[in-house]
Amino acid sequence: MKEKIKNFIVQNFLFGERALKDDEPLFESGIIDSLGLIKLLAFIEENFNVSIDMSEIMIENFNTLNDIMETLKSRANAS
Amino acid sequence: MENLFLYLVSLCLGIFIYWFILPSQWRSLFLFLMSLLFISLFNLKYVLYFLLHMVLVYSAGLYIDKVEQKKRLILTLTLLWLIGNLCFFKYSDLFFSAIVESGSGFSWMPKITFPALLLPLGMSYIIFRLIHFVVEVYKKKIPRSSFIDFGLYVLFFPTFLAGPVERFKPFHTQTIEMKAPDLSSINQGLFRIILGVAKKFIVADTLARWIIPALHTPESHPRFLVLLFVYGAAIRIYLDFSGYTDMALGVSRLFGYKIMENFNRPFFQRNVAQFWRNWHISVYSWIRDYFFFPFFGYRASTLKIYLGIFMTMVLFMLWHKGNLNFLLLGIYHGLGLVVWQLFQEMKRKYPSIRKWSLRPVFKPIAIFFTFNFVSVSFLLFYLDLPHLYAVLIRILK
Repeated sequence: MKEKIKNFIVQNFLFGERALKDDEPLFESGIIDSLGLIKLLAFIEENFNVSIDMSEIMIENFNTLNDIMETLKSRANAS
Repeated sequence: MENLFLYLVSLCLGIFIYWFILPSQWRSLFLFLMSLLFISLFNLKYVLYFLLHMVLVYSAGLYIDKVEQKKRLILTLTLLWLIGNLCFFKYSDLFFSAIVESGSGFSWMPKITFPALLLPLGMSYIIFRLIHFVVEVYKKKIPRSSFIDFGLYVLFFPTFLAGPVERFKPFHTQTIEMKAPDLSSINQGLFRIILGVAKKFIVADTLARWIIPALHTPESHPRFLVLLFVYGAAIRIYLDFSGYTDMALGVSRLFGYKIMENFNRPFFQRNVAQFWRNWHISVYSWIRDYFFFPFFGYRASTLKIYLGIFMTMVLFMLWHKGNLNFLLLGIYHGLGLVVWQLFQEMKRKYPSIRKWSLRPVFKPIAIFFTFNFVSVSFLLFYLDLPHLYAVLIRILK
């Protein structure tokens, strides 16, 4: 799951031109913006059969690849 | 200047009592009372008005936190009340003037005048904090707090007049931990205050005295100088606003609070999207989180997302002031952001464009272009459309 998300980010936002670190801030470094976040959420929902609640759409929940995994993990535990 | 001196003396006295006389458990109450006192110096009615809102939002938060039934209804009513109040004070003058104006052509229409409504100082920022609080309570994202701690967050006097709009969680954590500032924090706090005073009162105010009159008479200055005035006017807005932020952050630091930054080198950004992510960060991110994402950003079509980007910018600008200039600013930057996003899509589709845009030589050009794009639009902060037109004609012709 992590690798697939990482690959999506690398291909769509870094254009496959460099690697992405797990703790690299996606928003502060300008890799992803608001529109990018919406695309990323759509990708996660479509590919992993999860439904992300509107209340979870906050930059801090998706700021790094580790944050994304943590958010998805915590919602899996909650459900 | 006398007021500034009085403020600095009170501040020093406040800091001394805060750190050296009061036991730590009384500090947040003291700071809360100090904030109430600060606001009452502008108008005692403001204190009562804000307290009313705070009691209402805190009670709504308690209800939402404890009771599952009807919590969405309570949230909706609270939000409607807060937004309604903000709109009433900010835009009722505009609304009533428009009604009177539209009826002025009819002779039978009685001449009506409405008393001018004075927007309570700092109201926008307080309403933003209150909305943030009640929404996050609804989402169960923030810890429970006492009314005093909540009140301190809402009215915290260093950020009362011009922000930043700090988020509750980081602020509340600092209230609970209440660490005494070390020497480095004190140095940083004092440095930010001095920097802010220099930016606002020395550079920005001096620039304003030179530039604003000159922009009203562009024909009497050489073209190159007028262009410099345009740049200077944009830089002056930045220095004025970020100067306030520096002072707010510096004073906060002296009371042990590290508040979020509001600006991050905005004039060195490579595109308009980056510019807005680094300009007035706290309010722009607030509007993104509480307007763009809930209304446009959730499982939306591409068209809806573009509309959302555009509307977010229009709303952000109209929040500054409800008039034609700010509407035009919103449309200009909204369209700028949409065009930038379309360009991003093109870069994804066409690797040649992407490679061209990533060339090192492109970076300074992009920064210069963004600076010009923003500077021209910021003339709307100062000038009406005929004067703006005259400035542009002077530069271009």
